[in-house]
Amino acid sequence: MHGRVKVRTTEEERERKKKEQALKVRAYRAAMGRIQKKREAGELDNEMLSLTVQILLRNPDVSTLWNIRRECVLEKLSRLKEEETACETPSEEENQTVEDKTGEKKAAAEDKSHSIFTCELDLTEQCLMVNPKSYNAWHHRCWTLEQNPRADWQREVQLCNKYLKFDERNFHTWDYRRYVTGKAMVPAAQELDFCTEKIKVNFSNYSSWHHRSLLLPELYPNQQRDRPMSEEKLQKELEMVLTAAFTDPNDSSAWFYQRWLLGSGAQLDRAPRIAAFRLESHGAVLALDKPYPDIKQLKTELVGGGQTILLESWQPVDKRGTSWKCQQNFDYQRNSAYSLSLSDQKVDLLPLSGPENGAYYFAPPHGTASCSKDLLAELQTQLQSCLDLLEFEPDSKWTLLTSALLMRAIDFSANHETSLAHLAKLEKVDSLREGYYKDLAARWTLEWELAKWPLSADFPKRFDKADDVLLESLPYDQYLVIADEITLPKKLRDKLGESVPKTFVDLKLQS
Amino acid sequence: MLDDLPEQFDLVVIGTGFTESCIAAAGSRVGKSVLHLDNNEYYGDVWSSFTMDALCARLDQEVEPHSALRNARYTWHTTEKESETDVQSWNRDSVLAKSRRFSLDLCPRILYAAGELVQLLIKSNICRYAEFRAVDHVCMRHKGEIVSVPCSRSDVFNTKTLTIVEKRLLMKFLTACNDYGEDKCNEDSLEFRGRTFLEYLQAQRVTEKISSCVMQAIAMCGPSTSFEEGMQRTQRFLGSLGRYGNTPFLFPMYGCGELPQCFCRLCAVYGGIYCLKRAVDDIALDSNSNEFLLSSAGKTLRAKNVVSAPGYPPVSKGIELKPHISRGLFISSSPLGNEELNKGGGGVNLLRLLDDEGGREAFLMQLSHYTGACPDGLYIFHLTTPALSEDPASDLAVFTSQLFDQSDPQIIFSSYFTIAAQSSKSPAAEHIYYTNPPTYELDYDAAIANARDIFGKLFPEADFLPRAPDPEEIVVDGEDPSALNEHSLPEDLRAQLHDMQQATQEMDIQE
Amino acid sequence: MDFTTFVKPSNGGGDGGGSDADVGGQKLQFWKHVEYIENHGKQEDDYEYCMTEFLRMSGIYWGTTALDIMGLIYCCVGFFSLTHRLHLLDVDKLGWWLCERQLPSGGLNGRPEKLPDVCYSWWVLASLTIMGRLHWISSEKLQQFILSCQDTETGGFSDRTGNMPDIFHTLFGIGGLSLLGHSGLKAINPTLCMPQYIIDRLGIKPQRLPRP
Repeated sequence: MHGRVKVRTTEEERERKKKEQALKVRAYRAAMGRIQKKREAGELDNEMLSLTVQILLRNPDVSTLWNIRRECVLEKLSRLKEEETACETPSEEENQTVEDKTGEKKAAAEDKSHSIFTCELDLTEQCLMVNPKSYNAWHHRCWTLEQNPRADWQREVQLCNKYLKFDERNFHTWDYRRYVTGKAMVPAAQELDFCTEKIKVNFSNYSSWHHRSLLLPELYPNQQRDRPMSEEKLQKELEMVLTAAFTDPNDSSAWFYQRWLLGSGAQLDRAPRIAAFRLESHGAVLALDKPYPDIKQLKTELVGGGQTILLESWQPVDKRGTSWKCQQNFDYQRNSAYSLSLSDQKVDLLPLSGPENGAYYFAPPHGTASCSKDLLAELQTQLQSCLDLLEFEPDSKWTLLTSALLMRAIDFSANHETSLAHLAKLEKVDSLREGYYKDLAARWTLEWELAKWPLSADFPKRFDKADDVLLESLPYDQYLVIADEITLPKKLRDKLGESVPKTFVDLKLQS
Repeated sequence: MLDDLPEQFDLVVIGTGFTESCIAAAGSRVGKSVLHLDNNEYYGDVWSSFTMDALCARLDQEVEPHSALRNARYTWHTTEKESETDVQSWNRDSVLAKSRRFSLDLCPRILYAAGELVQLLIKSNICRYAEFRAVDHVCMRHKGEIVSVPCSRSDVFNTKTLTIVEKRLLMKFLTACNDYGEDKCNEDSLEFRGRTFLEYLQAQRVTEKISSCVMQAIAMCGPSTSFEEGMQRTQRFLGSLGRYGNTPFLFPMYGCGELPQCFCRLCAVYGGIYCLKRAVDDIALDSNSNEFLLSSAGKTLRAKNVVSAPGYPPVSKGIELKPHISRGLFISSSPLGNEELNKGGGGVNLLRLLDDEGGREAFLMQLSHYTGACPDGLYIFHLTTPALSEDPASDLAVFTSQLFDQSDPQIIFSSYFTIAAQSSKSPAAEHIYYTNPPTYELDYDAAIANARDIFGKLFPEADFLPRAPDPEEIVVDGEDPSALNEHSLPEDLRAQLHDMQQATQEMDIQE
Repeated sequence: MDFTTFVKPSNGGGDGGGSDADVGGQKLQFWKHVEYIENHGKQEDDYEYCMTEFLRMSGIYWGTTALDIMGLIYCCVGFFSLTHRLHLLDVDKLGWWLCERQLPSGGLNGRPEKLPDVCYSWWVLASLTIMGRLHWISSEKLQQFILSCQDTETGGFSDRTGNMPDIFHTLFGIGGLSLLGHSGLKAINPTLCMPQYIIDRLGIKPQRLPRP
């Protein structure tokens, strides 16, 4: 239903087409009717198989017919098994020994099952010629191979090569490739080479880059787990991807991959970390760096003053599951050292300055990933190239965005103003995504502000942003829950309305 | 053979050089009776290729006043270096021993992959008779070194000789050139009308290195080439990229001498008659019938039209020939350029050279055994430049010094010769069409244009080498393609429909 | 399902023409589309109806059978929405990748360097809406694109301007326009692709993130 051009046809043409289609409908209906009847009657035989072929070759997406074929195949296989076991019983009239006979029969049975599998594989191949993007055809192929203990996985890898020549971006083929190379035990390094060759020949291939992104973290894992791969490998990848990005001005694939490289890597199933915590005698408040509604699943313990207290009675402070309060009394010992553990993270608390009895912890959202000298040098070279290019192409969206990302990777604090300036430019140059850039600017601003906050005199009691009139939203608001007082620009405060973050004082937890 | 010859022909062609062979083939293809003669006992005349022995013999041949090949001399060199034990040492004897493995062209060319000749070969199906080898590298001299010019996107991506910003600028520039002409009213077309291509390049703010690449190797033009011409030449280069191999160029396997033979073969297929080693002693015009009377080996033939290569007796008696192209042909046991240009034992490379003032140019073709034109371990350098004098070695001196002075190649054989052209037409041959001699050009465009032009004068109503018909276009009488009935359904559907109709009639199916 | 209740303009307009809303010079041809939808399915021997039977047999969204990655993304986001687990998604990263689908024509594609298609107006848009990031694309330009895909002769929407319309793209085009707040259309629930008033009536509350 995609890509069918509407063409003006004459009345004659229309009539002709209608007649042709009517015939096709009749043929289809008749075939489907017959198939259903047979299925009801349990006739999972060769006739059934050949009936399904006619329709599947034209439309491989009729899932039901593939299911029926699988039923037929299983039926055939189980009958073969029966035959095999049946002839294992010896008969006196036979001349051959029992082993010979079983061996022969077994070989014959294997041949028969092999031909059943081959038949299915051939059909999927024919269907893939018609539609190389049919989920059903690929799936049926997988299913067939899984049934066959003697599946030739190497051959499947070759099949992928062939299909990738037709269409380098068919993600079905790439997914299938990942599946069969696993089965064929192709070493990841070899796959990486395959990928590299593909990129050398044509670097405008999102699917190739994506494939790399799956192989590299496995082959070259990052010890600190704060980057997608080891720094050494990352440096080489950065060089390659920027070359690709520059060489084809119009292709965005490489830029996407670049952004991924500059990120922190997959943080799947990472437990939330403590963003902020404050404890006084009547209660405590906890903010997490990412939402986690099932806080009760995380074991939270307070250690200090000679005690270990399990913190359990959390109540939500916000709707997102990022900040929680615990209203209970604590016998806070001023001179004691306290620590807080959340699942397997453990942090030391700092005492609050001033007369209150309490302690706190704060970790601003922007973490600095480890960066070796070589990696830093590479990032700086890249930034310079981007800035050079901006002289020639000042409105190039990807160059603007990538330079901002590079600046932040090198030194987010020193480059804060410039990176925001890039975002402001992007709002104009890539106006479709104005909303995104505005939100991103707000995030970066808050990351910077929160990084500076601990250096301010009133930390953590006061957070003062009254004069940043450009701020249109307030991300990371959970980090502010440990403050007594938050001042925001009026416009923002009005906009937030009910969503203005609650402070420690608001929550009435103070001593 | 001569006794079997018919006495009357529509067209007699004298000389089996490239242009003459095109005309002969074109004539034969449209049903004209053609007799094609050549004094020599080989095809191709001055466009031919020779074995080592034959080349030496040809160069030794006495020069007659009307010979197109003149000023020829050759030298065998002894290399001073001692060869390593396992590398074959090449000298005159060992080279001559492999004489038959050589195909040495007098007028070598390369073909643009989407150029005139390739299109002609495909269209007329002559390509069946010929094989080609993709040229590996297009080179230029940069700061005294021979470097490869990045041609394809993949090259630009992979090359180490350009910075990434340069790569970007080059790609942008090439993309702009590619799109030029689609919108004749675009800004650049208007702004640069009447100015030079070099000025346009400079306005694009590309670096000096890129400017060299484009001027020297891609557009292959000089400082005074106009903007429009430069764009066209660039487009021509780009238009041939990505078809076969990494560069836009092809070279015929076994040398360019194969090409005239291909046309001759086509001519023969359509009925043309061939006689080698046959001279025409005299040609006269019969004013009554307006036919030509040719006497050859005692027999008189009548022809409606005569086409001749320049320099053929008898018609060119008293003609002055002047030098047209200066040629250098060298055989070496080491290639030019570094390892990168000669991967796998020998690149087939093209290099355009300029003299220091930029006023004169030459092109060099390096052939390796991959073209079938020489044995493994040896290389042929073909050097060509427009002639200035009767001394080809001195004409080429500025270029040979650029190539050989610094790099110390192991040259075993060097030869120089001139290809000459007629300076005026013979008074006795008013109505005979003379083809042009080989000109200084990279491909065969001028030669084909010459052939078309003459053919157009000979047979104004006829098609020049029309397309060979496709099998599907042949319609069998009696079929009415617009009739639609059940019989035009695909066979399997039709049979199925029939079966189903039978079956459903017998069954009781409820919708 | 009675499509007319979904498509009928809430101002009850019966003028037989388009809506009052005009986006870039194009109007939504309400009644033409209603007609198109109503006619579909009335002719069971209609070729197209017959050839798409397998979709109805499968009983599942087109997105998971005949389409590509984008349909899968929508299904995953929808799943998280139904199970109230949206916090497990990196919403900013995914939202960015999705908003990058918008091309200069205003239409959305399924992956980088691919052509735009009206069906993505549903999948991408609904995903963004569920994640509270609808404002990361240009609503006006997308509406223009979707409207340009209507077939003003027969009614219905096609995948791209000038192509043949079909019932699926009609659904997604109208659904997309509703998410974008095109005037005259009732609200649609992005997780379940059904009119919001029905979802409210059934008391189902799939999760939806607010704007940051």
